Amino acid sequence: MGEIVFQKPKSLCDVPLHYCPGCTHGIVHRLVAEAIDELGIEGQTIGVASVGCSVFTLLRA
Amino acid sequence: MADKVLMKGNEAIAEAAIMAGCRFYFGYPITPQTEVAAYMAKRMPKIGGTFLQAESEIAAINMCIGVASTGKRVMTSSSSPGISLKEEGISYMAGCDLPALIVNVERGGPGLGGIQPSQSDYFQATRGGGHGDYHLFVVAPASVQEMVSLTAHAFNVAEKYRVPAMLLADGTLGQMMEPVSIEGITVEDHDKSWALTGTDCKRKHNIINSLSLLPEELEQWNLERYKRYEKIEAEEPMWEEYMMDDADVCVVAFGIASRVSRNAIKAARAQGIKVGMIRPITLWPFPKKPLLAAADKVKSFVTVELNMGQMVEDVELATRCKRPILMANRVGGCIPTPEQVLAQIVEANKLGGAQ
Amino acid sequence: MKFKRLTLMAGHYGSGKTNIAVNLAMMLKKAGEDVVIADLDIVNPYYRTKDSEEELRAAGIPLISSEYANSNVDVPALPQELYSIVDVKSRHAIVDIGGDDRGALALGRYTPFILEENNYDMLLVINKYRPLTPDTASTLEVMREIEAAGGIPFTGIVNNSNLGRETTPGDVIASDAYAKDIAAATGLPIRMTTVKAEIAGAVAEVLPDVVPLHLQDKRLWND
Repeated sequence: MGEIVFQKPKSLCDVPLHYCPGCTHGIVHRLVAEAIDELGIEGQTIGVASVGCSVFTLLRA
Repeated sequence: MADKVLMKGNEAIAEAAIMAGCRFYFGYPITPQTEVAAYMAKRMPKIGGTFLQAESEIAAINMCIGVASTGKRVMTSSSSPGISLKEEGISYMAGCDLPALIVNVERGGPGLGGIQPSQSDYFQATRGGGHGDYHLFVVAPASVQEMVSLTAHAFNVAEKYRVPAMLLADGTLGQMMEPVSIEGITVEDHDKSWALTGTDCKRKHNIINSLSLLPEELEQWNLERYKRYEKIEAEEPMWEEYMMDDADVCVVAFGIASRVSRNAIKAARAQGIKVGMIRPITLWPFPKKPLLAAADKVKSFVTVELNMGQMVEDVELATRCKRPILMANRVGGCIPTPEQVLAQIVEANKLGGAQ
Repeated sequence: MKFKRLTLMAGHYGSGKTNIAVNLAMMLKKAGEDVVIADLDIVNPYYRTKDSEEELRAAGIPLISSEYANSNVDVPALPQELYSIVDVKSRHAIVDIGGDDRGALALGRYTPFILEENNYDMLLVINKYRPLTPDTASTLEVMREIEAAGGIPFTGIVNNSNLGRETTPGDVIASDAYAKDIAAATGLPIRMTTVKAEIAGAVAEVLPDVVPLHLQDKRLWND
């Protein structure tokens, strides 16, 4: 089979992303998750979400 | 017909305020009242008024203190969590005896809650909300037309007694569209000799302040303020009675709950139940007199509210708990249905006799 | 009435676009056409196309709208499925756009495709009895703002002048002069005058191209 070259970061829950297609909010969210994966700190991380589209991180998964 | 326009509740509040001579609006967006600010943003510049989207609700209420101190009519609006932010400023306004209008288009709570309607800020509006001993003049419209008339009335009463006023609406009233007439608004002329307008070195300077160095003096200010509240309680309660003449059961509901209740009352009457409604229009001062009178004539009460039971406590107090009181309520942004209210009317009708 | 493949409803906030969009979609479906209705509104927290979801589903009209419509949040998120209004060219699409220029901004990402396909009607919905658009000048101002924000020029006018439940035939007929004035100032045709079904017959005796509307009333009570 092919080699996986890109996938969702592990610390990003496996639910459909709620951000509008192309919205940079979603991209930033993924980048933060990638950084958490790379640093291996998922177990020591507390997420904080504000009002606005990021509020959905508190409602999903 | 031609003199009517089709307006959303939120827009009606804004237009009525302008018709009532308000030329200053400070606000901040929050659903479901953002249209108040959006409408003001469009209208104020065209009539030489000031619209400012403040950096926060706290900033907005403090800007209102500034304008109110000069004796000019000023308004701010928000919804539930935003009103919580304003409460310190509101207490200051009460302590400085400043007239102004604060509009709360309630949403589900507590906390961030949700954008759908509620009436769960009743306690916040009528039991202080902010710190200290004070009352706001609180009105609760039940139609877009009342959004107009009560906005204008609230400004007049606020100036007459030098108290801040609150218009308590809910999301549905703010968002629904009904034809209204924006004519016939009277702007009363009240004494403003206390206001900060610049002395021109011709008079002694006025001071707007809520701090006193002497406890006895602060006590006097409180006592004097409560004398004005006594006058308001004597002269300003407003309510509507619907089918109360021969009623065995009395529904008590304000705002959107009263609209739903009318349907339920009609259905109950069709079933032969003699039920009527007392609809408070001022929430402070609460219409205690008609409720006490009703307590001697009806068997039971049903309060209908979009909260966990807030106005019901004022009904208990006003009726001195003489009769049983049932409640039909929904929270979280849900609205009681006529069927739900009818079910409670039917139950209330089975109860009877004095407590 | 002949429909282009895409019918876009825009106009001042509260002019009645949503009601008309639902009714036009029903009309098209009844005429045997394949049609989808899309809710592009990012302005209105309540009273959305989603209110008519059941009726639309029963009529076999798919509704594309934000999954948060009518929920407890009002995030202005548009779903990826909306692209189908420009991608799937084998069916009609009625697009309900949010009010004023703020609502028209959402159109932007679809505009290049819409203009390229060039098979659309961009209809300006007007209501003389809304306080911020009572005359030609104010209505033209809103119209220009919407065109600037959405990038799609209007192709026709829909006169939806009404006073809600209290509308009389006289109110609608009296608004015709306003609609004609806007038509003259813009060079756009009045495509239809939309009237609630109960009084549409009376208005149709006086005005041409009257389309009856079945009003979507989602209040829990009636009075």
